[in-house]
Amino acid sequence: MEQLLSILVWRMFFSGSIWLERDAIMLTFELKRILRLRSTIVILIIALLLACVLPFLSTIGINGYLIEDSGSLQILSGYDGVKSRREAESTYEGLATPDILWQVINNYQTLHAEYGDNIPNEIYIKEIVPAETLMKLIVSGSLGQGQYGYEGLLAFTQEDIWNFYELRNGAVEQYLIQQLGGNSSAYQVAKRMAGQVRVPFAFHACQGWPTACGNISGIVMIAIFAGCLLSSRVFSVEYQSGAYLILKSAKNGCQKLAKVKIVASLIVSGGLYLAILLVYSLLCVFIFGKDGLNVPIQFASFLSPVPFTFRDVYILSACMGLITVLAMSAFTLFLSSCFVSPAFPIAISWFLLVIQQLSGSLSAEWIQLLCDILPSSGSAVYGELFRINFLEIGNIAIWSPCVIFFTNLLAIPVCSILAIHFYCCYKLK
Amino acid sequence: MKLRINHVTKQFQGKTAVDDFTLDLSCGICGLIGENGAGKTTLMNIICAIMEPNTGSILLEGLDVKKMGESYRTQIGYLPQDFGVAPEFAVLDYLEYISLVKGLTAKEGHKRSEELMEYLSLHDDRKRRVCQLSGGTRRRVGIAQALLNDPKILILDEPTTGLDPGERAKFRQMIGNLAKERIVLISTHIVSDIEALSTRNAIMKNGKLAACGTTDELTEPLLGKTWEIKIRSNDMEVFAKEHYVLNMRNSDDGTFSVRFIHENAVHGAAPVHPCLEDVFLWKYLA
Repeated sequence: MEQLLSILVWRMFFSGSIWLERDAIMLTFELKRILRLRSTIVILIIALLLACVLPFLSTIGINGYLIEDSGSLQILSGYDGVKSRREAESTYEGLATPDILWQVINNYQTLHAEYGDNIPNEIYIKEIVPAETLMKLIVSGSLGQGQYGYEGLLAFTQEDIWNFYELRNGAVEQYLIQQLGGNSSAYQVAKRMAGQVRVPFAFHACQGWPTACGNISGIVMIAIFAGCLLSSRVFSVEYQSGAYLILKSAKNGCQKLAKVKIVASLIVSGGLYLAILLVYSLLCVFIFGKDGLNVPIQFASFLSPVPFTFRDVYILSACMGLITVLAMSAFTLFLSSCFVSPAFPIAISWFLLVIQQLSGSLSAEWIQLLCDILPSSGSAVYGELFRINFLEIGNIAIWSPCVIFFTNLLAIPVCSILAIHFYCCYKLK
Repeated sequence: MKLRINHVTKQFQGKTAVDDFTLDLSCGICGLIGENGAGKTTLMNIICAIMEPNTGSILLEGLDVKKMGESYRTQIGYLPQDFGVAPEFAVLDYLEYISLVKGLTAKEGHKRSEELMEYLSLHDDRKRRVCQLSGGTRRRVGIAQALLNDPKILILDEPTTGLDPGERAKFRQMIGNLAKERIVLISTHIVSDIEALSTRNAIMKNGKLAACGTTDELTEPLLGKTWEIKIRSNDMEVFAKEHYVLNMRNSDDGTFSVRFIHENAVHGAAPVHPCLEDVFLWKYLA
């Protein structure tokens, strides 16, 4: 079956004359046609505006503090808040060795001993705020202390902190056994991954990056919404307007034209995604700084066994996003080749996207698996990159982001072939 | 060149749109006449290989066009009744685009598009977007696209719809020139448009071929039976009840000039030469 599919893909896309000059010109015309549509321009402008807004949404909840000359506390938010935090956290940049961690805890314990819970603002801003991310890292692990919140730090001894990374390893192992069972192949894979996490963790001011990485899903969704809107019209509108009659009676009006239309639509959808991703990424780097990308994801998910930094997660989410946008566009093109009204392809594609976003709240394993193989699955890949969901087939355990990657990648040629087939076989009613 | 429509039948959800239709076409203009819903468009879609018949076949020089595939499609030019010209294209862009779809090279397509724009007086509109064109100009663009590949078989479905009288006259002249070396099939329910042009006419009724022949052959049964008379408007109702009225024209003096069929001479009526429209109205309209 796989062999047959690969032969089909090869024959339909490559061994034909798709790259001949005539086809390249046809592609240029088709691109010109799509880009001249008023709806394309409107969609592109809206998508770019949303891409400009999203990075600023990632700053929500990040506050900086400033003591004014009058002695009153000023809370900074948005870009100023992030900037203030970045400046403050630069104090601890470098490797989060047990020495550094103990310095943080000792400092807190000393201040707590002196002031109790009412540490003066000036001292809090100077001493605690720069160390808050590291304090949260230690607290988030809890590591058997049984207390959450900064109070948990009071129970730590220097010895605990010297063994911080060993204690974390133990906690991760326990977590994996609890989640995957100790003997499963998934457990073995996850354990191998956990072994690759580099310790001590590298620390940079990374405020905002976890949210910014997560918001790539937003960029992907915007691109999918826009791509589906554009792709839904490709074949349906031709059926509606009757343009199909002229094209279908022409020599290249069937397979070759369908291929060109599909390639053009995928280029436009992919290009639109890359354009808004570029705007989003540049703004994120401007607001949050690029050094924060070097921080391991354990700062956001302490027990995650995945050996990635935020840079890895950002790049992987962005690449998966591109594949998902293309897969969803191909899927919409396939629907467009089946329906006369573009409303149906849009509705079905968007429904699929919404289902994907809701899938996180559904606990049934088969629903999760089903959602992983949908062409929209890559829109929620950010969460999967932290988690330890595995598809187990016999002794083979496949990490869910890999399942999502391959199913989405496969969806592009499969849906394209189906679109060509249904376009060529479309029966006039 | 011979194109044979061979016992073609097409059904849609139990309704027969084309019913065992057989017709031989050769170079020249053939008019396909029928009222709305007679099955003309369905038949044309079948001839253009856009639609497959349930039974029967289309044969070009004895070869089944279904088996000919691309080589058949390179020989046809089709102007559908309702065709959606991509509105975002300028006229020249659209013609060049269609020429590529029709298998011409970019260079050939450009040259041919320029020629046809000149021929169809579209040159001034070459840079205008198709959505900004008048109905008649869009129709001319439609005709131009049908001619891009210099087709041997030209199928025109209601080509004069939306054209003003001047454009219609121009169209008739243009089609007359084109038909010398190719098969031209024109469907219409405006019989006068093709009467002067067509070498043969096929009349379609309820999906079937009701009659076929030259204009003279088809009008022959009405020779000596078609009359014209002037009737006062007050008498019109009574006259219409007693005679088979084909057409009437209102005059300034309060009378109607009535064209009608009658076996024998009627007092005051003058004999007129029957036209194709008379036959169609008399015999084939439901």
